[in-house]
Amino acid sequence: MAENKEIEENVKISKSGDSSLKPLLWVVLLSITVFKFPESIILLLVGMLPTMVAFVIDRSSGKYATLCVGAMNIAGIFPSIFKLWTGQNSFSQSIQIITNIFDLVIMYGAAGFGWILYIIIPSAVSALLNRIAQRRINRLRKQQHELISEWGKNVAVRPESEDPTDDRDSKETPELA
Amino acid sequence: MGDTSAELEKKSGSGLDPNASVLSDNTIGSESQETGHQNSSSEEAPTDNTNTDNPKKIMPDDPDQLDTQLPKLQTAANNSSPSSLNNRYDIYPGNPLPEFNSPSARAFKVEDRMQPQLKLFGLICIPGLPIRLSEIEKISGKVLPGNLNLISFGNINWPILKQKCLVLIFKSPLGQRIDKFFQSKQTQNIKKIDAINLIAKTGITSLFSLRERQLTNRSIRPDNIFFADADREEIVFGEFVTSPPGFDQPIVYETIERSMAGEGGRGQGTLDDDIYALGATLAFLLQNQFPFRGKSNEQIIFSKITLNSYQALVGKKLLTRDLSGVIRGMLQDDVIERWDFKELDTWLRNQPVKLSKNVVPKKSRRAFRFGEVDHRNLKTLAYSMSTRRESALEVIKDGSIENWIAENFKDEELINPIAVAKENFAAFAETMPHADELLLSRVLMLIDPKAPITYKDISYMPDGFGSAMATEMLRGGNAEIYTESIINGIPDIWYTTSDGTNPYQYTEIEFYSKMIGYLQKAGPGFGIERCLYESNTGFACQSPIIVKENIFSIDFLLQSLNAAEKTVDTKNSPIDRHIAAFIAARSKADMDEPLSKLGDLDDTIKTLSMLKLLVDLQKTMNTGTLLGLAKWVGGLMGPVIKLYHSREKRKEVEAAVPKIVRSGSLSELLSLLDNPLEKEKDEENYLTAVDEFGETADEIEKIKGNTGPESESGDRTSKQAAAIISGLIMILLIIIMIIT
Repeated sequence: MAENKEIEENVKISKSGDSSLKPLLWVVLLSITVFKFPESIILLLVGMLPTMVAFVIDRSSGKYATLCVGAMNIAGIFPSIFKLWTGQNSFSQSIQIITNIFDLVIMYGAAGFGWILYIIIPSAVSALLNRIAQRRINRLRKQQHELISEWGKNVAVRPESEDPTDDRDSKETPELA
Repeated sequence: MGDTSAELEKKSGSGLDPNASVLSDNTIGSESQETGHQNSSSEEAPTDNTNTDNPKKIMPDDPDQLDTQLPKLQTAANNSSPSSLNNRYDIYPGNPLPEFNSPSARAFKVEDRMQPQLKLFGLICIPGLPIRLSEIEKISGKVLPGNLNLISFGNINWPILKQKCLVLIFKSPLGQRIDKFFQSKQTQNIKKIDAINLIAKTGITSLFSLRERQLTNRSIRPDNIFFADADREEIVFGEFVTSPPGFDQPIVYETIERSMAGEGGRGQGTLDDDIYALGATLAFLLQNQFPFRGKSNEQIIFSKITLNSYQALVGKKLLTRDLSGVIRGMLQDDVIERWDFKELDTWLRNQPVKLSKNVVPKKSRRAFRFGEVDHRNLKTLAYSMSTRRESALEVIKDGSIENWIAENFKDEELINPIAVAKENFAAFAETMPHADELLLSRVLMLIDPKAPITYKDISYMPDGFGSAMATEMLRGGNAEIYTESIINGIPDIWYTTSDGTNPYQYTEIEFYSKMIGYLQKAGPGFGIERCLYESNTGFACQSPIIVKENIFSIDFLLQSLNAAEKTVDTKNSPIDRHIAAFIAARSKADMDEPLSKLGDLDDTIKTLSMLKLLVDLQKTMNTGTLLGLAKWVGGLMGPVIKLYHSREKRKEVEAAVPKIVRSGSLSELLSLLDNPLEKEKDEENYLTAVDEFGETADEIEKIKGNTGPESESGDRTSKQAAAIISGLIMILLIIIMIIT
């Protein structure tokens, strides 16, 4: 028992060590990126503003709005960043791009399209899922009706609350002889 | 005599009328007595039978009333076709033989196909009246010296009553009835004396033969004795089996105690009672002037008690005094003092027999006025009180009875129990129903322990309960009073107050205990009907379904039900309360368990039990195919078919039932409906179906929960889909841009 406790404590210590290192690693990585690719970072910071806004206002656990907007936002930024990387890839070019209204319309328009997708697609998917579910329910209902017609209405009663006389007392009196 | 039977026959022939009054009191008819003989007893009952409580009707007893009272339906056209018994005896409804009539049975001409030379007559019994079946079975086909030979018996279709009736085929006596012979003015006294001697000797011989077969006659009276031959050299006793013991007897021929009971409740009795009846018959025949002409029953009983039977019955003008000794011995009221077979045998051998004492009951110094009579004797007072119950209760409660007994008899053994009984019943008066009646019954039994059981307006000897109840039912009276009396333990009181000399005491106590057990159960096969059939072996089944079949044995039950199928409402069960009780009482096996299920609240169990019972009977009786009954029962099997859950199986069984019904086999029907393997399989499949239904219901609920408008899961899924689609579009656009 004592050994087990010791092992558990060691594991906890090692886990807490991992979590304390993660932010540091991120900071180091971001710092390297910022200092290595400042022009791309400025473009991304400006261009991804709608995504950042979406991230802030999206309170859903999966951040699906952020993902929708972000994906389309990336698609909108991609031509500009592609132009930057294939061009001078300088700070001034980066400024030129983010000050070009046409480029900004593409970036932000794409993000807006992401919002549109986020609004339209769930409704459509929900309608589709409902339709599929209804068909399944109908099939199950039919199965239930078949069971009732074969075994009587008492088949729908859970065994713990079933009264066997109910079934016999039903008015379905057979005509005999 | 005969009023009662004739009335009963009318009722049974033309339907029972519950409001009809059947006279219960008989008197000695004027025809039987040539001149009157006034009894000078101080306790003579009032001739107008004044009774302030519940006056009973008094009718002159006249054997010829029998014929005049018969309804017209009791005669048939002379050319009516005969009814056949056993394909041998033809009974002609158009040829009545009134000379052989019994009070409870009508005589008709009978021809034997195998021996046409035989002179026979058939007695048609009144349907619904208990007969003495065990006695009939014992004497049928046997020669019983001094008695009519019962050749055969059985049920026949009787067109006059339009139902089946029991017929008893007797060999006809060749001479006339004794009473007619004595009434004839042409008969010389010397011939009468010869005849009386013949009756005494043959009568005693006949009683010996009855003793050998452990039988009692209980119908010995002048109009039930015949000359066996035309030369009047032999006599025979008439039949004694067409009604309950003592039922047709005028009370003169009954002992004091048994005469106090109602006709139906006089009880099986013993040969001592037959000895008494023979003594009374001899006394009657021995006199030109019979003392009881025009007297009421109450007057006769009072006379017998106050004087003793011998003095009351035997007047002064006798044809001969030769027989006075044997008559005195036979008419002793105390059964211990009465001559038994030893003394009778000695007398038959013409050897001297010690004469019995002429015992006169003890009388009081001061009379007790009750019911317009001055009583000096406890027995007369008790009898009078039993017929005037309201007044009797008053004199018990005010203590005047106790005072009179204390003053005149000084019998502490009687006074103390009366006082205790009064105290006990006073304590329970408010809580105990019928407390007054119970008090009265107990006090009357204390005063006269040998008298019959009395309760409310009924009275019966302890061995006459069954026939008393049956005749009450036939009269349309309230038979429940009888069962009420035994539930209230009145017979037990009788046995505790009696002297314990009754040899059948313990058998009878056990019998009443069983009856109480039956009454405590209410379902079919129990209750009053069970008591009725248990206590009357010779009582035909009274179920309205088969009452006209007049069956006495369950051997014929199924055939009767089979035949009844065409005439009754087949929506009702073929086993009603009467039939269930009849089966229980007549079956050799213990049927209580299967019968108790007939009263189950569940129709299925009830119907299935009914079918099982009928199948058992069909197997036991080996009755073969019963098409009508199978059709009837098959039509009632709806609830049993519902035992199967599967509708498909039900339809299959429903389709099979008519086929089995056509084969007439109830056991096949039972096998089809109560197949354990099929039922088990059906039950298993049903439970599987229940599970399956539950699973589908659960799945439906789950689907509804996942896809509904408020569903979190649905919302999440659709948003995930939106995110994925966005991602895919993004990838697609980037690839296109890279390529271009």
